[in-house]
Amino acid sequence: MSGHVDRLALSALPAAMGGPIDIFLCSASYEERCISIASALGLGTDVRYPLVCHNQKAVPQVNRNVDRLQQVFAGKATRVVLDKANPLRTADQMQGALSRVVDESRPQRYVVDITTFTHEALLILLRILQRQVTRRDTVHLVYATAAEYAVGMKPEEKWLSKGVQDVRSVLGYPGSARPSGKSHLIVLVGFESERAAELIDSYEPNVVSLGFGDEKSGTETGHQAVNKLVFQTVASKVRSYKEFVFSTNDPFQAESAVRDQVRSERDCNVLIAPMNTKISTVGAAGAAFSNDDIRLCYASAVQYNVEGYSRPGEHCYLMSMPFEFWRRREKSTSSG
Amino acid sequence: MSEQSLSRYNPFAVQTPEDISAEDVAELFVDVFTDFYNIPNVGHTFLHGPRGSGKSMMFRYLEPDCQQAKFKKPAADLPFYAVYVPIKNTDLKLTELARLENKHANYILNEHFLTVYIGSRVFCSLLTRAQLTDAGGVYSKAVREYFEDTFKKLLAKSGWQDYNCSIEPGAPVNKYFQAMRDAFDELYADVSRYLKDLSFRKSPLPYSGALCGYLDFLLPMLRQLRTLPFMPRGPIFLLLDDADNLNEPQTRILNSWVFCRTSSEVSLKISTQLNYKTYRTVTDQRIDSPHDYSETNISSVYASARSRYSERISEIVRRRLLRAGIERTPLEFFPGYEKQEEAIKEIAQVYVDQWEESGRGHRPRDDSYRYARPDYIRSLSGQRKSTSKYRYAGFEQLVYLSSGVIRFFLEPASKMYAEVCSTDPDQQIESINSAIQDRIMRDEADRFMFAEFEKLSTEGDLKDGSRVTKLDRLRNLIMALGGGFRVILLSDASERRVFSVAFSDAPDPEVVEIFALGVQYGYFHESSIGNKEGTGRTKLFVLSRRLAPFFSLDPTGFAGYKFVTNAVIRDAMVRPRGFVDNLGKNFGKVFEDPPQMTLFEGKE
Repeated sequence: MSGHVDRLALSALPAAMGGPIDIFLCSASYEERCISIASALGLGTDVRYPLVCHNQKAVPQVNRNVDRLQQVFAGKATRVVLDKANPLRTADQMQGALSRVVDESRPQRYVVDITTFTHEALLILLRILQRQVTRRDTVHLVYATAAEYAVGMKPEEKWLSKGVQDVRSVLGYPGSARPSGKSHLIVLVGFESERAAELIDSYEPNVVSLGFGDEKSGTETGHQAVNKLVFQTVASKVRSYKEFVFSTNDPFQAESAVRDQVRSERDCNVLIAPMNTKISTVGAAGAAFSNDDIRLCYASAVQYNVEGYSRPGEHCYLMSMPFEFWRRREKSTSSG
Repeated sequence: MSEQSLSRYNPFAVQTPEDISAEDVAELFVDVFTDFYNIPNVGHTFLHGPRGSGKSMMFRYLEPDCQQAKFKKPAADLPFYAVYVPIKNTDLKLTELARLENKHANYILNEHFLTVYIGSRVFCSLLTRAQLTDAGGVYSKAVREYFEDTFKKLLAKSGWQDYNCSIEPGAPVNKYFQAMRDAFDELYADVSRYLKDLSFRKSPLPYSGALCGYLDFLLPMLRQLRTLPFMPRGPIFLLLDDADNLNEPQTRILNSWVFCRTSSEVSLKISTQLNYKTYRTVTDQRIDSPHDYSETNISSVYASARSRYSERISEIVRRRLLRAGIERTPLEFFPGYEKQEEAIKEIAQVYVDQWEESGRGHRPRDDSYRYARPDYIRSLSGQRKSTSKYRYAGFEQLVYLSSGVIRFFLEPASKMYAEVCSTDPDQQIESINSAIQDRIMRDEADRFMFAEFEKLSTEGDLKDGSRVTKLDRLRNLIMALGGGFRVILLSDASERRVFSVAFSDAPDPEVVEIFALGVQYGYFHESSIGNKEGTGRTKLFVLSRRLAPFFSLDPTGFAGYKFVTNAVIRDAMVRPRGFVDNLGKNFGKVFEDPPQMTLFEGKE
């Protein structure tokens, strides 16, 4: 697979993108970061169809950021209304919006700013793209870094979300479990210890794998130290677990780490909860694309740190997704 | 990569029952079925209880390997054959199934999904839990006939015409069980594949796979299974653990199975974490107790029989200590704070001595029992910053503080043990210091009140605006009642230990909903009591004793209750401080006493 990842200053993004973009997708959020990529591309980049996703019921900051994104695209962006509580509606809206703008008569150039989609919405979007993209098309994913998460808080007090409203399988990733099999839950631990612990508690898997971000792969300095603290908090609540590391800034390496972890328990039903960077979530999706047995799950939070979730960084990651990323298949992991 | 685990055996560590060996279960499990007699008996049963109350352990104990280890009998001589069917969060509740909502196929496919899931667990159980020894090949012959004449025919009828698994005669029984389990796993995978194709379709997608239901497949399959020579004469129990994790159509389907009243052949034992979605069937009929099923709520049973609960915990602790090589009784291992208990004994003696002159109770011990500990707590409350000097320690207090949920005893005990271990990993632990017990129980109460509420509570989340207000009202209600009970504890009232309220009038639906939310999250449990007029019964809401350290309440002994009106509670949900202030000024404006009763009447 020939995908590659570049870390760039945001200001260098337009040049790196090169030519015009047919379809640009992003998600408005309460985070300032949701504007970073679109602003960096600016009016100088030719974007034929900007699609701005946002949740139907959102706090005022989100609506303000939808307006700001509209301004960036000179009012020509299409709003795609998602429903955080209803993944089917989210999928239908995304699919509907894409079907209205994709020109199947010629190669399409997609750019997706993955930064501020929820993990669930991002995974659904990736599955839709998997069904949509052809070998002629090109797909770039872009991720804006955060200079800081849980702004201004001490490392041990940082929080991004609280509580778990619901744990559900992600639409499009039902996996192919065997009712008689043991379960293996793989958690890509991020900054949210409570959500991770609750997920493990509610699922009661036979085997737990807890992954934390590789120290060398932090999207910004300092994130990995916080991640390690959160990891330790989650680990302290689990009786027995297997530990692994994954890349937080390279989806292909993250995918490889996840696949290794899946293979380490061959006869288990695999459930993956990606809870770290959106880049590593793309890696988890890649692992599921290559192995239909994998089920992905998502724990929706009760409350987010709306006021101080993150402070935007000055860099981004540009990922070129080869066609093989979407269309690979390895042998089933289960022996049954 | 490294495997992590506890470096030292912690006798109180909570394990998933599924992973405990039959021998360990037989050794550690304390038989609680005299408290829950309908669980091991014929009949459909719902077993309700919060997470950690011992439901899964009861189910594990009923499985054939544990029953055989306990009673030293072969499976055929057991009174029933129990199949454990865990319903974990996303096992059956796949998001894609929502695509079928309001469509005819919804119930049919969900029933098939549920049936094949259970089918797989049945043969999984026969493979791993039945422990059959087939010396003369008798079982193999019988299972072969079953496989060829019953199983294959049922599969063909369900639509799997080309099932062509062939097993040579004389193969071990497990080979047949494996084949049947694999067949169900394959059917389950077929549904998963179909659902994946359905993920992004709004238009109908024809389903051409097999369809298995309860009456046409699972019941005849189990009925014939019962006739095999290694099976007990009694019914097959399907132990569906955590049925709250079913989606609503699956819940209605399961209720329809309950409605069938086939319990003499197949008894459904359904556990819930108090969040079961509905008691309606697919045709919207309501299933009712006792006609269709019996029902047990673990919290209610132990709230009304606290001494039995204490005995159970004592036995559990005794066995766990013994297994860890610690030869101490539970009372010795979790000692109370000696200075405190001596002081309370002295106050109690004063009450005994003064009873003839100024006693309120019927017997000298009544007053000492009622007032000694509350008096001691009151004596501390006057001293500056000294309320926390009261220690929540001693086996009995820990039992009370666990509020009828075994896990709430074991988890803090496990933390206490780990803390003592951490100070000197090589020492032989003989007891847990009362200061450590007290600190951990206080931390637990704070976490329950603060951290749990922060988890539940939400600001600015507009996903479900109404829930925000409900949670705020629930928190206010708890603060009001906890604070109110503290005021009563420090008063001269004749009954100072109060943990519950009942309504003297009819609570409105909104108030009932808030209490129900409190019950669901474990802050209250529900019981019933004679109504004020003596003409029937009314609901009693008991505050969890886990919160006693948070409100500085006395968790021990029997506690009284107060009648309240709907209006007072509505107000408390909005203005908890006002509720407590009013109570300080005038009890009668807020709480009404139950009718005059003797010491143990009028208790929760």
